Amino acid sequence: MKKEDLIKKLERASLPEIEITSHRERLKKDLLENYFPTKNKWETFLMFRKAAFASLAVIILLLASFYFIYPQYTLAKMEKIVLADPQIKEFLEKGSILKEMKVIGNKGYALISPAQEGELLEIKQEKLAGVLVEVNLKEKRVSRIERITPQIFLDEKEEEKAKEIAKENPEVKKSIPKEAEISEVRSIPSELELIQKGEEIEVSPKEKKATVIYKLNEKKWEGRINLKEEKVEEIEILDEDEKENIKLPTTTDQEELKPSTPEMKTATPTIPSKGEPMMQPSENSDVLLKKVEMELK
Amino acid sequence: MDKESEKELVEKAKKDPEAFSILYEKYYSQIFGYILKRVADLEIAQDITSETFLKALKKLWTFKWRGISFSSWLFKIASNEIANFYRKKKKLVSLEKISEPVANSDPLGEIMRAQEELEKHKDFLILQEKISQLPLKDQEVIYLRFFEKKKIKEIGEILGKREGTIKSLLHRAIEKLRELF
Repeated sequence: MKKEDLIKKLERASLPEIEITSHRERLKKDLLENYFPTKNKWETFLMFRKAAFASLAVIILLLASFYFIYPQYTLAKMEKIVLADPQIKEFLEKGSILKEMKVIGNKGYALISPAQEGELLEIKQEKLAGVLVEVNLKEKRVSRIERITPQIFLDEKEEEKAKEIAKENPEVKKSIPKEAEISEVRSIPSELELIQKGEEIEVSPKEKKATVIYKLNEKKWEGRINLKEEKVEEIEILDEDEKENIKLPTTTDQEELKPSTPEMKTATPTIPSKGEPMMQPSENSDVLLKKVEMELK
Repeated sequence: MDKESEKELVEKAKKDPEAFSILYEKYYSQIFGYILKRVADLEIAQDITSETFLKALKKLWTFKWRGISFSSWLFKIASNEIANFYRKKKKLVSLEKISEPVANSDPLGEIMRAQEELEKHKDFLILQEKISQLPLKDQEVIYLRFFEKKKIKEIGEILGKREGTIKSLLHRAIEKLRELF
């Protein structure tokens, strides 16, 4: 059959015009009596939508209060309690600062420590790394003050690790004669921080650093070891007339100091070898460092 | 009834049963006629019509006069119900089984007379039998274009497709149907 013929056939087909009145009437009756909504659904939806938006706004407000406004308010309240305590006032007068605060349930914890890293707090001939203050927020009072003594000695493992880093570092090998021996290893007080462990709070040093003393005959060197990053940060000659600091480049420093020309490689800061002019004793370590930086630039 | 009056009536029908009755009376014949032509079975046509109007009533509150007329919206529901019937061969809930026949009516006699009337249209029934062999999409465009005399634009509204798509769909459907003769 041709397409035109088929279209004509479709257009001219005699179509049944049938209607079943009984079905029409019954369906209408059913729809209106049993299915027509008694209350307009759109209105219900609008009402529900308004209520839903209002509830959502309230929930957001409550969450914001709980997570942002209330903690800030609690911290402010806690700070006021801590600063009002006469013992804390004494610590602050000695140059300490309120470093950190944390709230766990009804208790607040504040860390008071020296403003400068590595410094110690001296209270009645006692040297402290910091003070942990516990605040009872319900009773609005300081409930406990814990003195944190500086950790001078390292445990065996840490000591071994410090020695290993101190020996294997390439800059140390370059700067200190290999015959030099490590005579002493001790901890360097580091900046403290509050660590929350479940419902408890712990004071822990931010970094783990140690001082290593190298000795060869009468000569002494001091190396500052960063145990966490496993590197030697600084080497210092302890001989009185040759005292100088050699600050070793950190990872970031190394990137910055990367020489742009091959000649600049010679500018790597090291202790001068034999025959080279030594720094004058009057020049302090900062001046030397500045010189090295200038050369690198 | 012009477009604006119908628009108002549809809005009113969301709350007012009287307004819904007017719309129902206006479109029942068209919808039933379309479904009957598609399925060529009186009982199935009644059931699908019932489903179509029930769904329309339930979804009326969501209807917005946006790019599609109320008539096209009803045809769309009907087309979907027919497609559902063919795809799933789903069991339709016949409203006739729910409600009692209206007093002073003779539904059985009416159906018998309607069946006789349907059988008189032999040419149509042959065409219907051939068209029913086509895929559903092809069936839809042919029925809407030739038996419901809908414009391409209206068919696009009902099937949710662009006019160009409808034209090419129609062209391919006619070609497929031609191969069956």
